[in-house]
Amino acid sequence: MTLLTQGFLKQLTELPGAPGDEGPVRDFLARTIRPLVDDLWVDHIGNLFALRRGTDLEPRRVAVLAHMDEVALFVTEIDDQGFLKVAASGGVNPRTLLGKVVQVGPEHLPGIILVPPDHFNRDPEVYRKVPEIDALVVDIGATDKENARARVKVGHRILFQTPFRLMGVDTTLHADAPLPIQGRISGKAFDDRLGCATLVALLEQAPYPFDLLAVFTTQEEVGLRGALVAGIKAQADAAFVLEGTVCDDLPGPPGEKRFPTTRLGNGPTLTQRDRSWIVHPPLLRHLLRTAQKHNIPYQFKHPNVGGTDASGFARYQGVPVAIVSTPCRYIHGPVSVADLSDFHNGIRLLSAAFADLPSLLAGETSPAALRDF
Amino acid sequence: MKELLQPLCDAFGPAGFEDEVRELIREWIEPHCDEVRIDTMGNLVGLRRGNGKGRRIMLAAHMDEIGLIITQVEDSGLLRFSQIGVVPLKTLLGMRVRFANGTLGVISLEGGAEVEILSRELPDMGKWFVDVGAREREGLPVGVGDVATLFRPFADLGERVVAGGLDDRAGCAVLVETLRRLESSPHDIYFAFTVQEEVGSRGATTAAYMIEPDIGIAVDVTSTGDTPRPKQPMAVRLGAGPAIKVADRGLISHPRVREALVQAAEAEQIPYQLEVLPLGSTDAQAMQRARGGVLAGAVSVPCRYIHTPGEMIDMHDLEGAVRLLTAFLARPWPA
Repeated sequence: MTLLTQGFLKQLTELPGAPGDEGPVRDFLARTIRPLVDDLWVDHIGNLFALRRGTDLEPRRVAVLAHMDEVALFVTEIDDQGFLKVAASGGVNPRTLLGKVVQVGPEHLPGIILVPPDHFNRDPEVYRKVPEIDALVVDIGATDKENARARVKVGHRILFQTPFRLMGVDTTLHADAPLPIQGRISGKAFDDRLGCATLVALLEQAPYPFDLLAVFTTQEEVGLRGALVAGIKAQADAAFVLEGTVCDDLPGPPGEKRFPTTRLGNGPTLTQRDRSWIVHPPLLRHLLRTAQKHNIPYQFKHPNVGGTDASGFARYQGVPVAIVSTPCRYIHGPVSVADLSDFHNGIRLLSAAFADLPSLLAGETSPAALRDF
Repeated sequence: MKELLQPLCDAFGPAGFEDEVRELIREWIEPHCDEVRIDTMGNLVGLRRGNGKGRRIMLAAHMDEIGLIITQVEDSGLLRFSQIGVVPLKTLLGMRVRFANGTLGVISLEGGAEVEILSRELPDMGKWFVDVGAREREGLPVGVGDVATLFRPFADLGERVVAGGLDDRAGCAVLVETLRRLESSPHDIYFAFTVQEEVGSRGATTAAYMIEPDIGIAVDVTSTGDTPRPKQPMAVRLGAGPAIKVADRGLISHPRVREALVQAAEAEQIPYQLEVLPLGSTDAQAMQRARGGVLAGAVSVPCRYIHTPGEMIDMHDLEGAVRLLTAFLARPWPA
């Protein structure tokens, strides 16, 4: 009986997890994985750690990271009519926000990001342009300022309200049934709940030859803050970062032929280099060899864009780190689309790579060998 | 020192792919070190032990250089790319590039290079491509993730030299030569040849964490203010001696480090200049923030036209930098 049910992924992606406010996601993950691990703890900044001991006599320690948070907005001001002004927590493009349904605060109050209908404004400079985030307004159905203040406080988080869906012909969700092997899914926060789900699946398949330290991190979207703290404490010999990441197979301007680097359904993506980190070449080679040996499809992520917890986790100690992602269209927006075959192949690739990882960690340049220099 | 500088500049080493440079330097420094290590990031660190009465000093010069990385392959076999580090777009049109496997190519622009070269505007990154002379996508010798440098041969102008990659192979040459000439020092000296400086001093950050130095000194190039009408006025001149850094955008040198370097220069009558660099930074800023904080400073080799394929330094400044560091390292750290 697998934990990776349709209901599990639905619940995991629909839970709110604004940066620094990942409590509901953390509690759900902790409940889910507790039976699978030897030890479970939460640090001061809110990272959830879980240790699953390995089978080797003197096991190395390998950290596997996925972040619990998602991009969000928060309330900065309540105006006289009871409308909310907002600011962004993480990289949010205001083009994706207008007219969207959101949930506000700990009570998940329904809200709408306001978009004035064209009827009231004939100046295209105004109504055809996308406002900056600080000019956006959220309507929570309040009648006036006092009414709004009774429901919402400045600082409350605002998240997308997007149901998890199976896409295609048969979209009926069976909560207890395993995730289909194929097909596409849509929902919110795939960056990085798909990484969290991958990590849960890997814990379910444990033990490995090494001690697996699962780290569900906080505050990735606002600057890898959880991973920076985790990286110093973890004393890991290697690390893997699991992501739901960009996919560039989108239509371009009319008439223009596009050449995507990553395509949905062509396999999990491996990062060579992004804006914030360069993947440890021996670890990347190990993943490539594993994929070829087991005939698992893979592709490269579009180089030099984005950043992940890899950079935070490895920043000070230079821990060898690799990044494996499920490609997702439209991340950081209200809804993403992913292909389940990429997700499953990512899990296959990682669990196969883990089986013969220890030999890679024993060399003279391993962190363990260098610690006393 | 040209015999060090030329092979260093000819070696291939965009950030993250410093292997060729590292192998070269490793061979040179091994006979002069008590211990040599390469860490997980690829930093090469040679330790020269002192007599136990000195401090722990880390010297850092970075092996990497700026470059390009392939991001997309088109059906026609043309390659789209992005920059590694700060590569000025103005230097690209019509330039040749070399990949790690030796593949050569030329950089051009959408719209036709012949037309675009007459335009006053500089197209953004998405409009550029590399042509390696392929007929189609099939059988291309390079692909997504492969990195390249601009083709930038070493030119010996006599007292001055021109090459791409002098930032910071000049610093690497200074460190190697200093290690060779240094006779005795009270200090434990870690000669760190770092990786990935051009993308944010990532190698120096982890090397400094591991080494835990008392004092950290970066050796890198710095800009000059001696070309016509500089937009950022600067006192440093080419040929006026090595520069002792006072400040740049990422570092305010610790006054004690700066003062110790000045004292060493004056004691040995080595011409020097004080440097305030309005743009850019070096590995010293990463060392300064390591662990609980490190006394940090920098010795710079003045360099014109930084981050172009035609960087220029004066050999007298390079020699001066070696003499300055050798003098500094031979002296006890001021009480």
